[in-house]
Amino acid sequence: MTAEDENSLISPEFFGQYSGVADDIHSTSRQVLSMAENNPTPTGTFKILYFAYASSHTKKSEELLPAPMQLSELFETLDKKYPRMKEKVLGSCMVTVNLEYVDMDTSEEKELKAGDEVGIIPPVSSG
Amino acid sequence: MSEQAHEEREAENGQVPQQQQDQQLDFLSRENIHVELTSAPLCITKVMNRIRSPKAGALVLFAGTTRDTFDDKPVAHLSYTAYTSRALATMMSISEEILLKHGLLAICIVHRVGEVPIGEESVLIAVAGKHRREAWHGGEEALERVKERVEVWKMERFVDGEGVWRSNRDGGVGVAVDGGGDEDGGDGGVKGGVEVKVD
Repeated sequence: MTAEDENSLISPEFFGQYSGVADDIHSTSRQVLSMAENNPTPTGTFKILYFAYASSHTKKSEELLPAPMQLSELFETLDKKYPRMKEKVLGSCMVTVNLEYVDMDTSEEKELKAGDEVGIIPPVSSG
Repeated sequence: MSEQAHEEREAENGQVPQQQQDQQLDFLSRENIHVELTSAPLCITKVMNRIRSPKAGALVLFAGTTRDTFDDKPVAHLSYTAYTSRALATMMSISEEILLKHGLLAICIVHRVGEVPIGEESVLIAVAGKHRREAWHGGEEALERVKERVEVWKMERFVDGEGVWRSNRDGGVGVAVDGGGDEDGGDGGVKGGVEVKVD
């Protein structure tokens, strides 16, 4: 199963399955889903979100980076901008693009496009 | 939580300030499933009422609370941050999986974000089953999946001022948060997994 298959759960079709709930809840689902669209990024950039120790390392919770960028160049780009980030942070993080987890070890090329939302996801600690 | 705070939240259905409206948007709901992130104190009664069913013979509730120590080190306060949209989708996916696997009637998962005072609930998981066995087992598995997967992060600030980003993956120490903000960031002293210092 690919990461895309697994995360197809959050496609609009998935939310379309919601039944027996009030209209405002439908719109809530859409609103959550389209959060990135509601906050349009300037042309030629994608938004990157840093969580937990990723945000401690960069000293910010989000920023805009120039698009397009190959996904395979992301970690190097961040490491240049934030010294030792690969070693100290990114090695233990997962990455999402528009809420879907992507495989950073694959040789398959993927392009980060203008308006995309990228998440740097450290190991979680809910509960 | 205080009764007053609870009543204030309940009263939000009418005209509410923008900030509270935003707070209300941090949930997903469908028949038999409700998942939510909130910065307000958690209400056990409200969560239990969401899963009640005349078909149920058992309601199981887990309440995770914030401890005042980690490895005997006194914790001054804790706060949680979330990737809200991603975390809600994961909570929904876990709920669907658990409901199906254990044949449950309903499930509700609510996680608190922002600062949580010591001794208060940070997560509530409630499930309804026809019989106790599936409710117990389903509730336990839901909790384990939540701790493994939901995109929420805990930061503990110790009494001595040091802050640590916790990691559930190893049940271990997490990543310390530097007080100083030096470029080097310190080495964070990895112990039994991931430890990250936080500014």
